[in-house]
Amino acid sequence: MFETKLCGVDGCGNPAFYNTGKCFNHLDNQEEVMESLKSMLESRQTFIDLSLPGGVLESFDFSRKHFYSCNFSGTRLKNCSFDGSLFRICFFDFSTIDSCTFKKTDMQSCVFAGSHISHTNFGESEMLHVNFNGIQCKDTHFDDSDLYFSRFIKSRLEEVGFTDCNLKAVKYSNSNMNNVSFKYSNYEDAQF
Amino acid sequence: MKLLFHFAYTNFSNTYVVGPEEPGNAILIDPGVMDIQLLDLIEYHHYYVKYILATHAHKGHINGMGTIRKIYKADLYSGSESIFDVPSHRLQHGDRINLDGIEVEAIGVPGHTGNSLAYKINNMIFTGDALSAGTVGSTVHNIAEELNIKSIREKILSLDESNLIFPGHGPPSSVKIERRFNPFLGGESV
Repeated sequence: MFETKLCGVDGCGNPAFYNTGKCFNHLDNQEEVMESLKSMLESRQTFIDLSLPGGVLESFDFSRKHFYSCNFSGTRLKNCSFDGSLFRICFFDFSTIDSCTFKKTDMQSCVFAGSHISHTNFGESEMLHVNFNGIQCKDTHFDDSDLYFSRFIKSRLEEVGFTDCNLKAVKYSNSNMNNVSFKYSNYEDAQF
Repeated sequence: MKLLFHFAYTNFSNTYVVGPEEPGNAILIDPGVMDIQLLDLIEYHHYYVKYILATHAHKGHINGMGTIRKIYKADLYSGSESIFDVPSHRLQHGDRINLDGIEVEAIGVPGHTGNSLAYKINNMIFTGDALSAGTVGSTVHNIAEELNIKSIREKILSLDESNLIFPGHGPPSSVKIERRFNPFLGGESV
């Protein structure tokens, strides 16, 4: 669990991608690996200890799947759907997440810290204990979500919606906000 | 090795279970509450709680210990010789113990309490109240605060950035994230 296997190339300190023994950048056959991975990932329902650090995932359909202790750190996700999925202790830190959907997800103790998130929909989700510290987030919304105990410390939020959310014990301290909406949310229970 | 997580709504604290892949003896870290959900979690994985690690002796992190020790004959490990009359194996910074094949290293992080410990198991660090995502533990005075921050910087942030942080409250994090985004520990400006 959470074991970091490093890339087998001399001098490379990046974590290894999936079961390849090399980091994503050092894979000779990235497209081939992703193609076979895509069909495998889309056909399975539950993932435990899935490790795809640094990968480039475009137009993957991960909807209605279950992820336990999975590692998506440093990935580039584009046009991926995670709608209706369940996540427990999963890491998406320092990732680039563009035009993805995480609608109606059930997420606990997950980490998006340090990620660049744009044009993404986290709406109608249960997001208990999620670490969004240090994110740079643009044109993204969390509307109708329960963000109980989640943290957005030291983040940069621009055109972000938190409409009708539960913000109990959510922390936004040291953040930079521009055009952020908290309409109908209990923002008085959050810490700014 | 498996890591299981339990959040107690009654005192907002995290309890962790670390155990083998197969049924066997497990470690319980900071049992703030012993409720039916935690018991279900342990029993579902066919674990027997043989060891309890307490990061510090605040009730929100050990209140469940009495009930747990009625169910399982668990040994307590902490920075003290006893907690609420329960005898404890006293650990100090740098101590390493092997609990049924699971290596645990104690990291001394005084400040939040005088003898707070964090526990490192593989690349997972269980920090209790000393450090959580984007913040540090409360202290009774400035000197204790400085001590807490100093010990976090020297003993936790100095570790490899791939190490993950599992705090007593709030979401998980990592050494890399705390170095960059914890306002109490410096880091990048927004």
